[in-house]
Amino acid sequence: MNPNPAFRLRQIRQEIPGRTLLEVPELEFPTGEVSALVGPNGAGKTTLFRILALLDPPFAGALEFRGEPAAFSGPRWLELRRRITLVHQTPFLFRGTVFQNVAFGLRVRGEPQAIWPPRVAEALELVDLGGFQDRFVIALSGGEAQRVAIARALAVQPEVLLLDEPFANVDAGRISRLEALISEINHRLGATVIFSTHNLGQAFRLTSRVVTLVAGKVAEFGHENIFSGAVEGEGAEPWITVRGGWRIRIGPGVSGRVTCSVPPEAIALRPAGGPGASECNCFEGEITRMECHNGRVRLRVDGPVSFRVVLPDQEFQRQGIRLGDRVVVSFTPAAVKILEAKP
Amino acid sequence: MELLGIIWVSLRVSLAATTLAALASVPLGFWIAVREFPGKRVVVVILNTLFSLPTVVVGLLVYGLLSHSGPLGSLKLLYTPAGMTLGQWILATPVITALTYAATKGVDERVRPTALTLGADGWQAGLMVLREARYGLLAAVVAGFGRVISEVGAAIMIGGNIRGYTRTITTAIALETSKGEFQIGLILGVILLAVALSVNLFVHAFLRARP
Amino acid sequence: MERRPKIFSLKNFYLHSVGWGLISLLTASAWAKEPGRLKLATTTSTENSGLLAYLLPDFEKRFDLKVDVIAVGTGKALKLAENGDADLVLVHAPELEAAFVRAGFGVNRRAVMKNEFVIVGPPADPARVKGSSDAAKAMSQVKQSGAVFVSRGDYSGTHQKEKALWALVQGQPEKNYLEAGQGMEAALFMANEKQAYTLTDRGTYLAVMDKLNLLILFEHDPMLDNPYSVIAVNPGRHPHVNYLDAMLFIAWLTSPETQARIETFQKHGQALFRPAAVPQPAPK
Repeated sequence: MNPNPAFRLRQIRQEIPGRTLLEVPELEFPTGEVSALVGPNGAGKTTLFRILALLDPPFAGALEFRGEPAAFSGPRWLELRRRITLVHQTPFLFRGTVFQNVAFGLRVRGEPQAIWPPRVAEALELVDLGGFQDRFVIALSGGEAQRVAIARALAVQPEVLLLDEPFANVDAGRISRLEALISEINHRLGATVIFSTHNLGQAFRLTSRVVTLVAGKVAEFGHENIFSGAVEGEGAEPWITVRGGWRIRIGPGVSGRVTCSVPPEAIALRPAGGPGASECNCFEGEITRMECHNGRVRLRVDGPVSFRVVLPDQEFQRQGIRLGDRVVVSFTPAAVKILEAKP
Repeated sequence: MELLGIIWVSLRVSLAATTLAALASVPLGFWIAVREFPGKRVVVVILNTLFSLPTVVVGLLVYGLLSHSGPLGSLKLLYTPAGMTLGQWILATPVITALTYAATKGVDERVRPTALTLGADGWQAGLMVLREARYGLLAAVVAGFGRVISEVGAAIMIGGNIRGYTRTITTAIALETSKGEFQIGLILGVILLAVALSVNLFVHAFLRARP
Repeated sequence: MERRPKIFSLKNFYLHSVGWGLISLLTASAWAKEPGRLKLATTTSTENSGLLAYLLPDFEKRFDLKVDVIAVGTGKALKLAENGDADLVLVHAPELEAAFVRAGFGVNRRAVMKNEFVIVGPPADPARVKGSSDAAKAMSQVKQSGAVFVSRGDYSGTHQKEKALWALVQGQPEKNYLEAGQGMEAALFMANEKQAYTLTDRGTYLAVMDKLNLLILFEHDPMLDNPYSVIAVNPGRHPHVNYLDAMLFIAWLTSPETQARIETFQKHGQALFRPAAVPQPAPK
């Protein structure tokens, strides 16, 4: 169980004289998962990242990191900063060699010099830049520099990795490799990863935990359980086909390619093996993760199609659900929210 | 031999003054660049104005300070190399401070946050900014050195141009010129340039060794 | 393979700087505290003629003392001594010296030597200075003719003497009178460029005459005597001065041996200074 989210923001506001850059009444980023921050340029993504990286204190509001108030000065600030690393949108590499850059985080932490070379080599391997240690940074291409910056952040094995627009300067051929890398960082290193992109589809490919920022505000759909596909079966109950050939029925009146979301609160849960209506959206799976906070329980149900489900505490108690139980999730077609529809 | 002594005095006094000025001015210029405080613009304007501080005025002020009748007379630093070092320190300080300020301002603004997010403490992040500015910093120090090794006003007023003790290349040039020995004056001028060139080559080699 | 990456070359540089700074500071203060130094404020004529360089090694070796010669104009030398920034003075301006002693700044004034002022000017001598009956007359000739005259204008001993001479002829000329505000050599070069007249001590003129197109047009007049005196700074007023060594220097400078050496100091085959400290024995 991960009782505390990586970040919890409350009434966070950031402003510069005469302008509000960011206004977030409430937002959470779960621990140990990949989250995406989506929004057009100037939406406040970088502003939010700088707050999450503890580089800029917010003008107002409270930020919690792993359930504790974040610090923006003093020794605790340093301690927290050493668990969170931000990779800037256009990263700055220090003058010198790739090795000097990637080892920087180890150096400032006073890690013994003996472990620098293996950790640097490992981080460079992850970004496909093995053997680049002695290159001078001025001789790197833009894409290589970007990957060195990611390696530099990985070398310190942060609990939270913040990637501001990591795909912005990457050539098309490398995007899928970088997407795989983000998943790998999350799985292999167990790091919480938050990345930003202006590409909604890309965000959904990597995670179902997507936060959308528009003009400094979290847009209405802060969605999970995201699916996309072409609408089939014209009529009262059309559906889309998702991975594995499963159908998700949606409300009437849409056509073309859609991206939709099933709000976790709208999903009902019952033990597997009982009777069920076949025409509804029903999926069987196993409970693989449980978190509780604010009187609600957040569950992850992994099956052919995975879902995140939120239950009120009482309902959770009533059903006596435990980790590892097999359950059936169900929701009505009307509960499916259409986020984006393209002809 | 006397010539070597003169070059030695010049180098010792100017290098000591430049070094001491750099120790104070580099942190000061850096601090002014990274901190916001009321009156900061005024400070920068004053610093840039002090570039034009006439060396004789500094000589006069320091003479007044170090003279036995002055407030620091008991230190007995008048007409000593140490006294000259003090005068040249005053000349070099605004130059190095202002140029350090400019060099620090010129550093990419991502350096500090990058260092911080990689786990540097405030001091380490500051050092990284200084490190990125190092070409500018060395240029600042070299400019300070150039200002003091080539000045004559403070050196002659505070040092007294004492043969074999406080006679520097520049005061020797002034003396030889006043005696009508223009040729010796010119040769000394060339020697001064050669000394400055050596110092610059040394600094350049230092930079080349660490790209 | 063992790596020794250097990330902070600047840190090393900084440490080196601190080290060098401390070393420089220490050596500089060591210089300052070196014992056995005597500060002699004097005029440019004694230093630039080479007389002191000729005489001083004997003193320095014999008594293991370093003499720091601060060569400035007489006026400034006396001012330094007044402030207590010198231990003794060797100057040539009898009236200023007398005032200096009267005011209690100096003690033990002793005559050391003499040389002579001369009036130099362009070889053509447009003011007909040559052959004047005395120095005042010669100056008057310059004034009457309207020829250019270059004055030191720096309160030096030479300047004092020049002013005294002008006083004898109702003041300096109103036009064609240039105040150089610099040392004797500079004034001579200026006079040379302007083909003007000027008053100079013989020693400085001899030292630079190769470079000048100026001739001595008037000389050998008691009015143009240029006596040099040595005065110790009054330790009653400035207790920190090196009074004992100053008196030692005065004794040495006025001793028969040193006086004899002053006489042997020559430039272009001419003695520049006549010793004046040891009274000549009266003829029997």
